[in-house]
Amino acid sequence: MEDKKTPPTLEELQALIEMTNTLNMEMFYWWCTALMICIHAGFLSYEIGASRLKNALAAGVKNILAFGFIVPSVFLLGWAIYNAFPDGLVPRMDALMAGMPWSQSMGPNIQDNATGIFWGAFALFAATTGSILSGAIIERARMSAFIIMTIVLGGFLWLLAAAWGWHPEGWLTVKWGYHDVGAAGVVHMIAGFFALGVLINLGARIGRFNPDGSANAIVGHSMPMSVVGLMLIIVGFFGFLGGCIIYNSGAQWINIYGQPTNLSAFSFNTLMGFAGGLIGAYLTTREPYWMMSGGLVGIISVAPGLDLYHPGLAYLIGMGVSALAPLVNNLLLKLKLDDAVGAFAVHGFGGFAGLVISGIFLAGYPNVNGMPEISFFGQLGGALVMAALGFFPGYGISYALKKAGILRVPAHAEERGLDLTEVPAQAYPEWSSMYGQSSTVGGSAAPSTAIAQ
Amino acid sequence: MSITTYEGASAVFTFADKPAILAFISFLVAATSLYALIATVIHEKHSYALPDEDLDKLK
Repeated sequence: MEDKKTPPTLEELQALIEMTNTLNMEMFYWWCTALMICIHAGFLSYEIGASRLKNALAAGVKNILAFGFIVPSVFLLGWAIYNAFPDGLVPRMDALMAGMPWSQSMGPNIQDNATGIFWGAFALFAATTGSILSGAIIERARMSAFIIMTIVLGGFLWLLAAAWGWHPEGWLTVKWGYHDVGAAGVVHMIAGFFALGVLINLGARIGRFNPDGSANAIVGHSMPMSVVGLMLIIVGFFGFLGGCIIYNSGAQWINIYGQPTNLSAFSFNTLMGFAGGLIGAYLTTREPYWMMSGGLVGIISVAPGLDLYHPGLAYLIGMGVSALAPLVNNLLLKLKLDDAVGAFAVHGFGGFAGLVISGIFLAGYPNVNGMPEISFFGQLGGALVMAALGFFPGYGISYALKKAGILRVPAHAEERGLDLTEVPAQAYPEWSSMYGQSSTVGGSAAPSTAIAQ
Repeated sequence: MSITTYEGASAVFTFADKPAILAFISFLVAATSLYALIATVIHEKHSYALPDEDLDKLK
């Protein structure tokens, strides 16, 4: 005879639903974080490929170290900064203390399924900022200087930007209606403008410019490696952008500002922005390095309005901004700024243009909780704040390091190559026996300068 | 040990009830990062000073 089971009570069903929601939320961000590691892997491959043979491993070590230093920095102080500074520069002391590493929520806690998983996602966003800086300054920045700058940028600065513009109560949204769901400003602009400030003080690689100001191509040793790396970054972006949406138990997904949205919206516009970006860069460069970078630009430029754009509009925005990005990189070259991978054009310019354009197309959309609606001047103002918050610390720190004589490697080390000088390993041990010493300048393709020549 | 039972527990990590020790551990994390940075500076200084004929010693 079959046992007759007692049906669950409403309270038991409610508890089951809540537990399922909590576990779903936890799993969602867990896998977002895992995918975001693809961004770091992609930057690793892309920067190694964009480096000359003599600097390939040094570029890799720098990128790996960024991860190793940024994650504990976010643990020690960064997470507290994000939670404590939504009002500006005056901290909320209770939130600050709750985010410190001796807080009950900053470790295994069986009553708290959220803090660690969100902290992890934020740590990976931080690693992304470090990687953006890393690429711009390859082949001549000192490792130690990079470590200091990446700790400041990834461990602290981007979290202050996120507190201001990517927080439910961030002052940029509360006062100006700022809207940046995909972190074009708080991640990409902060890192891109920080890198620009550093580049001014760091100077160009030896041989990059002629006395008459014209630029020479300094090309990476493996464009295929760079292109595959860029595609890995795109994979990681699905984790990155998934981490930009909030799993809201019992109701609809919401964005970081509390507005209802869903992953379906993000899917439409991420892919259409990516495709538009590929085509835009193809139209102006015809070469794969910039096409893939253009795909990134496409996603970044539509990131502020991933939740609201029509997909066709996302395609057109991505295409337009991406078509311009290589020209922005050429403008830097005319100013004798040697951005080795076009990091400013992709992240700084892409983010800035995306925010300004979002001010045109999203103006009038409502915010929640009585906050001002989205407006052109709110978006423009937010973009300018992000530019300043990235640029001035980057310029200031690199200026101080330069004055201390520890920003750049010595000329003889740069000329003989950083791998030979400081890395106790060889990227391609058979190379010299097969082909002789690798060249110091030149190569077979011109990733960052293709249309400048 | 910070807990004796999982019933009703929240923070279960080591020294969860001893914030002074947690602060010290956090200090060690920061100090280790600083040490790694200093080690990088020393390594750079040494390797930049190596003459070309001694570079193979790194490999």
